[in-house]
Amino acid sequence: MTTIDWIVCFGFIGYMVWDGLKRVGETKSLAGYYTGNRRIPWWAAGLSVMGTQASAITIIGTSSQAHEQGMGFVQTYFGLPFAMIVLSIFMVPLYRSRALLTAYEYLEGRFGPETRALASLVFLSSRCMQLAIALGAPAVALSAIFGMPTTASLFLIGGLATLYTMVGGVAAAIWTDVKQMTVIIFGMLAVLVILLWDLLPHFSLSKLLEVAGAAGKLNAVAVVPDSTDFLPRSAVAAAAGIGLPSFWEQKYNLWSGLFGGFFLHLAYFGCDFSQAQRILTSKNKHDSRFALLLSAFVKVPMQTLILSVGVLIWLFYAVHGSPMLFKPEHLDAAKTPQYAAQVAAAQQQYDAAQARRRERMQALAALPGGPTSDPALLHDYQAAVAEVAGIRKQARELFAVGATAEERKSSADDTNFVFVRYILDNLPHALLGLVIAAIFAAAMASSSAELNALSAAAVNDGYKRWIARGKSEAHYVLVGRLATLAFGMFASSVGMFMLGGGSLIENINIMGSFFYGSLLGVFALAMLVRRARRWAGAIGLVAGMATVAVVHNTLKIEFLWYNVVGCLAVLVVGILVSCFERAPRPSATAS
Amino acid sequence: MTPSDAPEPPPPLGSWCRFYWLVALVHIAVVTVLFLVTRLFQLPMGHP
Repeated sequence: MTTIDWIVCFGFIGYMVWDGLKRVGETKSLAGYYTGNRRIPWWAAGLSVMGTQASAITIIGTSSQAHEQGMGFVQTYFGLPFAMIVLSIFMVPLYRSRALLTAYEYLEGRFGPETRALASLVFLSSRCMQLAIALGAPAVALSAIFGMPTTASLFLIGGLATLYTMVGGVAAAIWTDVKQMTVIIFGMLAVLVILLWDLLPHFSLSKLLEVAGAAGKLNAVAVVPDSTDFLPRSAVAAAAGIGLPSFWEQKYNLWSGLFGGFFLHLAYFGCDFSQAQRILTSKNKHDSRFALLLSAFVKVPMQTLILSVGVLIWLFYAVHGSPMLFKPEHLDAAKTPQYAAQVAAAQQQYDAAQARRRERMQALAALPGGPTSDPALLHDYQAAVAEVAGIRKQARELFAVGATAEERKSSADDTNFVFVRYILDNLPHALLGLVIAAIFAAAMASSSAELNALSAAAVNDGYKRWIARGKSEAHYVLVGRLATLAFGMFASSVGMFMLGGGSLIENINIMGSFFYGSLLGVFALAMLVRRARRWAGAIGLVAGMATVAVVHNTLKIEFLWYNVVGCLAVLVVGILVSCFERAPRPSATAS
Repeated sequence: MTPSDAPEPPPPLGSWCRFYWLVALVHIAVVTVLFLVTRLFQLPMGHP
């Protein structure tokens, strides 16, 4: 990072903070603080929907994941457009027909205060933990790269986001999301162009695709599942390696993306208030629909762009030679006498394997009939690709520390450092500053939307509903600002302990999947099951989460399916409870 | 807000219906293109 990079980086961050702070005039009432007085243009709300989902994790985690595992992750989003259509038909009219300040107010009108309180608590607890990951993980990655203390990086991101959200409310969150999304798209396109600029003199575009595809990196759509055994294995059998993996264990394929992803995004955009809040901020229900449907058009192409950058980084390193270690703590440990000899030996093997991979890649690209015209060479190339990956994995595992297998795996994982290492070493000045600023800004902007949503749920569903009714708007806005501050401090502090490795974006989705399906189930119960009354919602919600917990601990099923399990469990239990329910309808209680 | 045990039916979609079809069809087209492009080049690892 040069001076010009730092100027661009801090200039952009400063601009974002100033832009958030200046929205203070729009926050004099609760409607202003939490819905932007319902005057946000649809395109800004739509970009904010994507910006809140994107976060720093999207840039760092997704591209690095493609470097390691290819493009399969894009399938997670295949169900998203269908979810947006369903939400536009059912949820938008429901939310926009009343002057709601949180999504969970609707549940009180339908089931009673218990279900509203419970759903809001589920949102508050799960979103708070996800916010801590979203703040902590990129802060750790960035601080390690720049050599600054983790606390400084964490509180720079968390503190600034909390500051401007506390002052500017949801309008600040939305307008900073807009700028963040613009910079992310511009930055990733610029990185893509720079990578192609470097690679195209070596290989034509079709040859690049051939060598990437032959290395298994273009696995964007897996139509045929790895297994058609639909009986899930028990978690114990899977841990012991007994039996073959079932259909439910393949993390990404077309079917898990379409069905599991459909339920995940239905729940995330419709029932997680950090996203559902956008439906409340547009001028009318038509604008709310446009805001949601913007993601339906843009999300899959955007994720494809980011994953393509990851694959191109892999190709770049395959052509020019890749570092064996990316994680700064691995690089530091490698210099110590304890590891120096082992690392030097591994490096020697790694360099030789890389040379073999490069040589076979060039030979493969030179085949006029494509990679399959010489099966022996293709086999050798794939063996070299696997050898390089294997040596790198062994080298990382030299430094694995921790009491449990999971901790050692996390310690050895350097997925989140690949993209940052690439841009630090290869991007031109000023552009590097802008991309680093985009990563910081993405962490701040998505955190700010989540902070405002957490504050809205805490104040409207908790404080105003149960503790202090009938106070002035100014009083509630003040409490809302204090709640934002408290959540910001809490998430930043807890973020210090969310330092695990692994793919950040997966960790966020996995955590959400424990709760989202059940939240979706309770909304579906409210809308679809006429006879469901007071206790059906609350008991169904608890049963849904309990079912997901039991399934997680007993069966080997990938996380996208948890959303389906949770939703169906709530519906089944809710319908059963409603059969026995004889309690009178709840009295009018919502404020 | 008045509690109710009767869920409200969604209002008529009108011209939105055509737009939803457009969204779905564009998405299916994008996924199909992605599938075809990657399918052309993707080879299973451990190719004989």
